[in-house]
Amino acid sequence: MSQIVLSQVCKTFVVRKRQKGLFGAMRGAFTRDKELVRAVRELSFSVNEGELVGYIGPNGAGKSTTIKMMSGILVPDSGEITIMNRVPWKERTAHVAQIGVVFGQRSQLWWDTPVNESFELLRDIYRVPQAGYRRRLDDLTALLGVEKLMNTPVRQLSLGQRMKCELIGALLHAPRILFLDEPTIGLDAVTKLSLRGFLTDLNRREGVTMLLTTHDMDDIEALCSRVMVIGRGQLLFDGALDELRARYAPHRMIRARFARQCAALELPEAESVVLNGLNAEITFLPARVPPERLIARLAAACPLTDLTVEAPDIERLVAGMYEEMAL
Amino acid sequence: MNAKMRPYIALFRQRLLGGLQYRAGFWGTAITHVVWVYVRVAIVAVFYRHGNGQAGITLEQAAAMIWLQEMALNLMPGFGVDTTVWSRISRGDVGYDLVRPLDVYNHWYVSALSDKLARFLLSIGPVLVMALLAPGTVRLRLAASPLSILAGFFTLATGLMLSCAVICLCYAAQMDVNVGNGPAGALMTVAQILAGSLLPLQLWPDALQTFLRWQPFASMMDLPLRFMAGAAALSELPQVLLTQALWGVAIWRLGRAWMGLNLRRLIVQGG
Repeated sequence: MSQIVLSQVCKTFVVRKRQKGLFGAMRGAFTRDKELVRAVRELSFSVNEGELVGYIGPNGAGKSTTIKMMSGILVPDSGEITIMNRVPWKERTAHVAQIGVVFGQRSQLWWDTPVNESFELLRDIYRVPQAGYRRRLDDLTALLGVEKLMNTPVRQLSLGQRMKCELIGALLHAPRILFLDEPTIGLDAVTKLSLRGFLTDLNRREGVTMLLTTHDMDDIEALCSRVMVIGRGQLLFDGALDELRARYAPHRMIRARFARQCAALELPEAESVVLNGLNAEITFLPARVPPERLIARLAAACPLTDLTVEAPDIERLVAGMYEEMAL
Repeated sequence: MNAKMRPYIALFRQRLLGGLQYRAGFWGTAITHVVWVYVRVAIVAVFYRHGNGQAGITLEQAAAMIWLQEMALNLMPGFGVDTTVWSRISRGDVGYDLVRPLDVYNHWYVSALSDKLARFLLSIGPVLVMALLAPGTVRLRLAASPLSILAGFFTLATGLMLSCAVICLCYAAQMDVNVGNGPAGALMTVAQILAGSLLPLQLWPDALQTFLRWQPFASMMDLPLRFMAGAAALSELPQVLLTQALWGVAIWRLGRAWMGLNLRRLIVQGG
């Protein structure tokens, strides 16, 4: 049975517009123009226990709104959400005791308090038993390598250190589901790598279901077996990353470098061939022509010094997808 | 320890210890209070010496009221306002408060209570010492009976319950996008005046005394302190408790209902 089920969920925000200038502001005290922004419309999906799902889309697509509705913070206008057999906003306190949430752009730690005291406060708020807490904290700090930070006040942590601590804070009560809203925002490459490693490991060891939003496509590539793409409040794609590639970016590219100038390349099966000095870029569809045949032809045409086959990077893929759907 | 109370006790403790670490703030607050006492007593003394009306209390009692007020001010809504909840609401950080397995109203009530008590406990020591050492008329003289002083402490504590309910009502108003920050700020100012923090209420015109006695803010500070300053008889105790209870329940229920309504139509901004 699915752990998270959303069906036909809608959420609309009312945005009040103010006229320009002083007169407009004064008029606004009496009448205001309203505009309805449909943040999420008829969104349906379900997630099974232990899945690691990437949730992507441009800014303003409705990602955070979905996360907030699933966390029990926002109430949808219509539609149903059931998570672990509960309706989040109806049984909010029981629901949130079972989930962990990290908002990458916010902090849940008490900024003028040392890290371990912040954790102890969270322990008491979630009523975690002391014995289990000690073990859990030692585990998590060792995995993320932040044992030395425990007595540092939160305000003196770097962004990367703080994000690791935020993650620990969200996991102390051993939640079954973890919602991560842009957890890697603003982090350097090394910290991102260590966070990704930690999350994959946690997912494998404890079977924690994770749903993460991100703008960093490397996060998706490294972490998620399943991708959901949302745009303008609607689900545009739901499936495996490879499937997304196959559907929206079926091309592959061979980059080759020759030992000497090549006269001409005759590759009728390829989609395009660009020859630039010693370098060649050949775009092809693996469905039409197997790469090994193209490579054999290239090698026959000229001696090669270097050759790579690349999938288009997912960043460009998603950008193309947004463009195609006019988001 | 009661498991149900554990999160709230932890929040309370954190706030209290958090306040203690700011030494400069500690001394600054104490000195400010003492300076204000001298200024206010000087102003009141001028009226006692040169005015031709009848005051309900003696100058010594008025001076005592002013000392006690400066010590109790931190228990009032609007004095040393805790801006953390408001800034969390306006910046969108409130999302984290809502993913805690706690009742939101209780959570914020306890935050308000801890904040008030922490400020009170941190400033009372030095101010009390200065009050007892002050020269002449300004000195704090507790002429009241021990029982009256006890009644004063007790009603101050029950008044704090009401005070925190008012603060939570302000949080509810601040959460409501149709209301915003302004009215809560105005309410805080009104609360300070009507609690007698500018002028002890017994020095206000006689015609206003009945109104002043029954409005909610008197019972948070002025009425309890009258017991301590010897400016009220013990027989007034039931009336003070009744005022606090009636207003407390009304404001508590209003705040809870409003906050519940806000949570249903909440907008938490930003990614």
